[in-house]
Amino acid sequence: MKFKSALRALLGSFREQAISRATDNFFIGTLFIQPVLFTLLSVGIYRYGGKPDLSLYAVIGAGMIGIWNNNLWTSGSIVQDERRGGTLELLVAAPTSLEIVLLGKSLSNAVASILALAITFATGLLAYRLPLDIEQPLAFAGAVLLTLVAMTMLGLLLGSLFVLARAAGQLATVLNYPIFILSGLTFPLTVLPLWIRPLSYSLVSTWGNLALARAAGAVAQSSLWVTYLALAGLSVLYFILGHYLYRLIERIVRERGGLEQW
Amino acid sequence: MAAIQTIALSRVYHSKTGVIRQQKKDIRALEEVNLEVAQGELFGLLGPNGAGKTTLTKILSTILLPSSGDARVLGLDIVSQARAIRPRIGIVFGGERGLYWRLSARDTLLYFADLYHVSPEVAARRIPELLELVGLSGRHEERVENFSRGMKQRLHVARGLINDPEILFLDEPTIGLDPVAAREIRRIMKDLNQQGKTIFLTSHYMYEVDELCDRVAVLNKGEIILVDTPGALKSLVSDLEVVEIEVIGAQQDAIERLRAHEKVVSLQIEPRDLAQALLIQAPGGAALVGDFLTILSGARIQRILTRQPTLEDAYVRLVGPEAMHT
Amino acid sequence: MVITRLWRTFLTGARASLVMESVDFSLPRLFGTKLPRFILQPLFFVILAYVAGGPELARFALIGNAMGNAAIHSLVNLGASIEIEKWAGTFPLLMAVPANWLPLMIGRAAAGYLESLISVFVTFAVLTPFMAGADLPFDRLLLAMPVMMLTTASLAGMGWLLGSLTLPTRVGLLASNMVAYAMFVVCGLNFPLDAMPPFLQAIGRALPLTHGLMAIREVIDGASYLQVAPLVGLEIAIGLVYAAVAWLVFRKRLNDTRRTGNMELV
Repeated sequence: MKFKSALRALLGSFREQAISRATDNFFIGTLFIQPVLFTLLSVGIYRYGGKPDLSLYAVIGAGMIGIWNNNLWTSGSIVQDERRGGTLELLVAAPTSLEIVLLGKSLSNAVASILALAITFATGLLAYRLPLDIEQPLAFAGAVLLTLVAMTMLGLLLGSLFVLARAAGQLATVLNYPIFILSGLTFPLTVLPLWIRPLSYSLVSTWGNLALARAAGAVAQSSLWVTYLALAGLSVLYFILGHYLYRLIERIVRERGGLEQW
Repeated sequence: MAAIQTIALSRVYHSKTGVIRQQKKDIRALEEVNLEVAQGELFGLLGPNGAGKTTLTKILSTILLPSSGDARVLGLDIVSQARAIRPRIGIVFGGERGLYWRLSARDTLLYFADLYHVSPEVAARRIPELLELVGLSGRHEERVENFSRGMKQRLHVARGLINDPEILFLDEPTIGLDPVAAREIRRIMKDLNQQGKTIFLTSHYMYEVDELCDRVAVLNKGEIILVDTPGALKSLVSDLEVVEIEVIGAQQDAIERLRAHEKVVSLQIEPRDLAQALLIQAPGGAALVGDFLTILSGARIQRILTRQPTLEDAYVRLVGPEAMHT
Repeated sequence: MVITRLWRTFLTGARASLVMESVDFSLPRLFGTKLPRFILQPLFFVILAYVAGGPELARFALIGNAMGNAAIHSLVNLGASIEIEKWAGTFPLLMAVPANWLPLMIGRAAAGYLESLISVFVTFAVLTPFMAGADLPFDRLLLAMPVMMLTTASLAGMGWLLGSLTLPTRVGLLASNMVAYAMFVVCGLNFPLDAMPPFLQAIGRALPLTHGLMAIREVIDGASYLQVAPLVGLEIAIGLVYAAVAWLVFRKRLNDTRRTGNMELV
């Protein structure tokens, strides 16, 4: 019984987030326009430089950039939105866990963000006549799914983090490009010095990108199962951290009646 | 020459609602407004929220164009001669917005002094005077974002005076202010008027226009209902007494019977915690208390008092009780 | 008399804009967000270019993306500045002032202009040493600076146009961001114009930045001012055209606002 109502709450918040997101300017920009531009730029650079074979990798990387930007923007504010709407305290007090609501929102955002990948592929096809040759379609779908899960957990983590530490939110916008660089989005990781690779391998965007690229056949190295494992592992890690931060918020709200003084 | 004059001034706002299927909606904010304000007058525009006060103020201060009709400020047409009017008027809007948060009070006044073509020499002398006038002298280096609501409002007033205008338009200047701050603003308005400035004030506070204004125009749903002195407005209801009955558990049909009583001119209901306050206007109201109590028998009476009507009661008569609760 | 008035209005706008922007340039903000952003975005594209075409393309991209910074700041600052007025509630008040809006808006662009120039400078200063054999001698960069300043000014015209066009809407900030990034694609920042299909080339040539950037590249490579004069001339002309159109659109918008009453950000 409890599972059913929790599921309903999850789907409800999934839907609510989708509706409120639809008119958000920056959502539209980061989902529809930026991925197109990044694809045009990166594939264009490769073709001009004489490395057209890296185009598929670039398309996937641009898609990952879109997924990341999108999730950062939309899920980063899921807790903040509740707080601003005055519903945070109500949800903490309600029988259904606020966490379920947040996960529903985060999932909704993650699902929508995957669209960025479709858009970059479409751009590659339409602008550069790139063949959509995905080597292992099933594995690709698996990679998409795992990325989805990881992004959902990350969303929960970021949403809680940004409301607890406002500086974190401001820092996040600065960290965008470093994360793209470290994750090897649109260019191969091999160009980065060895000592920085451990940092790269700690990022979910790196593994999502590698998983998708490996499944599509755009890269030869990295075993697919390693990427799957990494994504799953990071998902668990993000969930643990996110859950902990969520509990912190819940406690603060219960103790102080709200997050106002925070 | 009148300071302000409007002839059949009207304003319609066009808006579109809906995202997919757009429907056009017309909001008639002002309907054939006729007003005349003499020079040196302290004129009040009284009306509930949404009556059109801000719209009228914006039109008279050349910010907004009317849809039809004419208006003249200082003898100049507001549509074709706006440029000539602007240097001679000042505008004060109420509220938190309308200021640059990152500028200091002094920077704000300097900025607007330049925008109003006040020469640097005059500005150098006037700015400290204005800061002194509104009581911001010690805080002028602080950024506006750190100001309290009352301080922001005072800065608005100082800014409105930066060009030493002949007419000062104030749109709900004391809204949201605590009583002390509000009283300060009112005192400033009185002083400015005594210096010879024409003041055009909008408000939905009855006591405010009662205290300050030479004449009051009552605006409701875009139409001028009445223009007269506060005293004349009060005399509208002077024949009436107001009987206030605080009651718990009054039945709806009892209230309707009260309302239908042949002597009762108006009945207004105000919620007061758990009880309802019935404000009944009737000539010779005190003598009717017995009748009223009979009608209300069964309900618990907490308090009865009779009093003389105030400007508020007159206002209620004019705009209707439903306007009081918008 | 009129000239001094216009000049003073310009100074007023400039002063106000600098004061308001100075908050953003406090040390923590500067080193925390502004400087990193100036450097990290070009770095991404430089690395990408390096992988695609070696040091030569990386150098090409560095120059392009340094100016790309200027593009972003010029467009976004002006594009959003009107929206900021509506947001702050000062728009109705500004509608009533006697002062001329043209010098005021030019003055208000001052802080954004300075920020653009700083961003270009920082990009070169930080990234050039990292690129071994980049062949970007300091004296040539210095010589290219006036062209950079002119190009940045020409970009401001486009920024103003975007701000004016989006004035009655709420998409000002978004539009300026998107147009800025679109310019990354068509203005020859990361690859030369002739790598694109003809119709995109035509679009690029109709925008500011394109010709100025070409001139900057040539000056850095050793050309004299005389040799790049046609390109610079084109850039200035395009900038002026955009600014003129911006002024016309802006005036129309102001008049429309007075008519429709749409001056608050609902």
